[in-house]
Amino acid sequence: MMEPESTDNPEYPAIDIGGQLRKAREAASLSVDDIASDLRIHVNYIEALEKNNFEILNGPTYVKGYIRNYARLLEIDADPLVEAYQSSVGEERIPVWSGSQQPLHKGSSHRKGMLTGSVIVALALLVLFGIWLLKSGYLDRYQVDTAQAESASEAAPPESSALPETSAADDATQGITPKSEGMTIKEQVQALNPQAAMSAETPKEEAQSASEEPTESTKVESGTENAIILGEDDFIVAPGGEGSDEIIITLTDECWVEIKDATSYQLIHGLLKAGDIKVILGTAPFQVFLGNAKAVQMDFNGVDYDIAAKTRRNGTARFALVNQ
Amino acid sequence: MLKSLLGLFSNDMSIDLGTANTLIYMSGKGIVLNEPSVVAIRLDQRGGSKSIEAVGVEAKKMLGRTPENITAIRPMKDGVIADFTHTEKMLQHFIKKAHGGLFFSPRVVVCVPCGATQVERRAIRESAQGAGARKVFLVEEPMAAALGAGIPIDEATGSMVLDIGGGTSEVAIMSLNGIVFSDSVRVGGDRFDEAIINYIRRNYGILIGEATAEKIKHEIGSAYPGKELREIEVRGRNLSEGVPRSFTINSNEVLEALQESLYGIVSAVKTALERTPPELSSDVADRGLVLTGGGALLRDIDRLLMEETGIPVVIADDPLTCVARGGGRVLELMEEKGTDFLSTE
Repeated sequence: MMEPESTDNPEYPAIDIGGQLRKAREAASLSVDDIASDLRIHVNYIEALEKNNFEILNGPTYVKGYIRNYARLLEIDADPLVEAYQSSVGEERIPVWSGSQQPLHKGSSHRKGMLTGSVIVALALLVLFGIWLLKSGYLDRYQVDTAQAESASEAAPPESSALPETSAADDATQGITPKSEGMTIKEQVQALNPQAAMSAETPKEEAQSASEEPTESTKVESGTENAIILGEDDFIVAPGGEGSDEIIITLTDECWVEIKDATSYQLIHGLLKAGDIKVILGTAPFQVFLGNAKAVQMDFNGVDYDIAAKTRRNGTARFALVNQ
Repeated sequence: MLKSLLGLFSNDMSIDLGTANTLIYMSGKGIVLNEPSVVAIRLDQRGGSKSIEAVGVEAKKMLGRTPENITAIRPMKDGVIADFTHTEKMLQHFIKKAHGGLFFSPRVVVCVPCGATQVERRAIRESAQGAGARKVFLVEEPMAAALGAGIPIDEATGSMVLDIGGGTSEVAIMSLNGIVFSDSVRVGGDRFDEAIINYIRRNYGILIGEATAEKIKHEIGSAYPGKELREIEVRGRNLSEGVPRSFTINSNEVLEALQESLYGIVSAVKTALERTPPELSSDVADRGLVLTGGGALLRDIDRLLMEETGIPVVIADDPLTCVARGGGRVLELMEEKGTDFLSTE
C-alpha cells in the first residue's frame, strides 16, 4: 500500500493534483471544454479541479471519481492523485479487500476477550445470586434467628451487612410490617403509625428502632409459650393513610363487625372469626356495630373500651367512639 | 443497561447477503469476511440425511466438480433466498466465523434488495435470526451502498446510486436520508456469466462452466469498446465431438455477449432518471451517478453508462464492499439518528 507523500501537511496536497491534470491536458492539446464534454462534467467543475478548488465540488466520493475519470481520459496514473487528495482532506484510505483470507481472530486476543468476558459474566452471576438471596427472604429468616442475640440498635450485624439498602427500601414501600420481637400489639401499632405512637405511652424511640428491621410478617411473642402472627391483612388503614386514631379488636368468638370512620367510610364490614385481631387506623369519631358484642374485646387509642355497657339485650352493640 | 452490557460481549455486524458473495463488516474491524455464497451438501446414502460438507470458498471450488453424493448449491438467487434451510446454515457458518466464539449473539444489519417482496424480506430476517443474530435490522441495498460509498445523502440534494450485484442491480435516487425512487432489475454478474456461456455455446459449439465464464468476464470482459483488444484462451467441452477443446475468445466477443444484459441495466437507469422529480434529476445530472457493487469492476461500465445517459458516472472506492460498509454505517447512525434508514417489512 502506497503511503501518500503529504502526510505532514494535510492542508495542501504535496502533489499539485490540478496542476498535473492541467499539464497532462495541455500536453494532449485538449481544451477544458473537450474534457467537460467527454466526462459529462460541467466546465466549472473541471476548472475547479485544475485549481485544486475541491470545496465547490460535491464531496470526496465525487471528487475522487472525477479525478479518476479525468486521469484515465488523459492516460495518466490516477492513484497518486487520488491518494494525495485523500490525505489533503484527511480521509482514511479504505483498506481494499485483498481477497485473501485473513486470520479473523488471533488466538491470543480472542482468548483474552473470552477471559475478560468470563470474569464479567461470573461477577454478574454473583451479583444476581446476591439479589436473589435478598429477594427470596432467606437472609431475613436468618436474621430473625440471629436478631434475638442482638439489640435493635442501628449497628448492623456483620452477617447482614449486605442487607440495609433493601431493608430500608422494603420499609419504605410496605410501611406496615415492622419487626417486633417481644412487642405487644399496641407497640406494633405504634411502631407502624408514628402519629399514634406519639399519643400513646410507648416512647417514640422504641417505635423507631423497631421499625428499622422489618420482616414479611409480624411475629408477636406474648410471653414465651404462644406467638401471634399479624399479617398485612390484619391492618386496616383509612384511605390515604390519614387519621391518628386507632382501634384494636380481638375476637373470642365469631362476630359481625362494621366500623365506619368520621367520613362514613366503611373500614371494616363482615364476619370475623374467633381469634382474629384487627388493627384499624382512621379518624374518630367511629361508628361501630357489633353483632355479637360479648365476643369482642376493644382497645381505643390505647385504652380498654367497655363494650358491655353498650350491649343490648339481643347481644348486639351499636355505638360511637369519640375521641376524648 | 442490559443492552450495553450485551454490547460488550457481542460485536454488531452488517451482512451483505449477496447472490454471489456474502460480506460481513464489523464495526471497528472493517470487512472481516468475504466469501462466495455457496454451500456444498453431502447426502448420506444410507439414511438419506443431509449434512454440510463445505461453505464459502471451499464450497465454491466444488461447484460443478462434485460426485453424486455431494451437491454444491448457491442458496441465494436474484438477491433473495431460494433455499431457506441452506441459507440459514451458510449464514450460521459465516456469523460464527466472523464473530468468533463470543458469548452473546450479535445485532445484525442485513441488506435486502429494494425489489424484495415482504415474504422475501421476512425469509431473510428469519434466516438471520435462525443463524444466531440477537436482533436483525433490514436495510435497503441502495441505501447501504450510498452510505458505504460516502455519498452525502443527508443533504437536500439528489444523489443517484447504482449497485450492480451478483443477482440484481439496484438503482436509487436519494435525498434527505430517504429513497425517492428505487428500482431493482434482476440482472447482475450471474447474468453476465450466463450470457457468456450461451454466447460460446452458440458461436463455438463449446460448453463451458460457470467458473470459466466468470474467469473470462474478470479477465477480458468489458462494457464499452476499448482501444486494445484482449484475448484469453479457455477450455471447454465441444458439443459435437464431446471432447475437451481449447479456444481463444477476445474482448469484443465478450462485449457482444454482454450487450443484452448491459442494456437491461442501462434501461433501468434511464427509467429511474425519467421518473425522478426534475429538481432531483438535475442534481443528479450535475453531480453524477455513483457506481457500486461487484459489477462496477467490469471494465468501462462507467463509460457505457456515461455515453448512454449523458450524466457523469463515478465508481466508488472499493465498490465490492460498499454495501457491507454502508450497513455498518447504518449501525453507527442508528445510535445517533434512530431508525430512519431501516427498511420497513
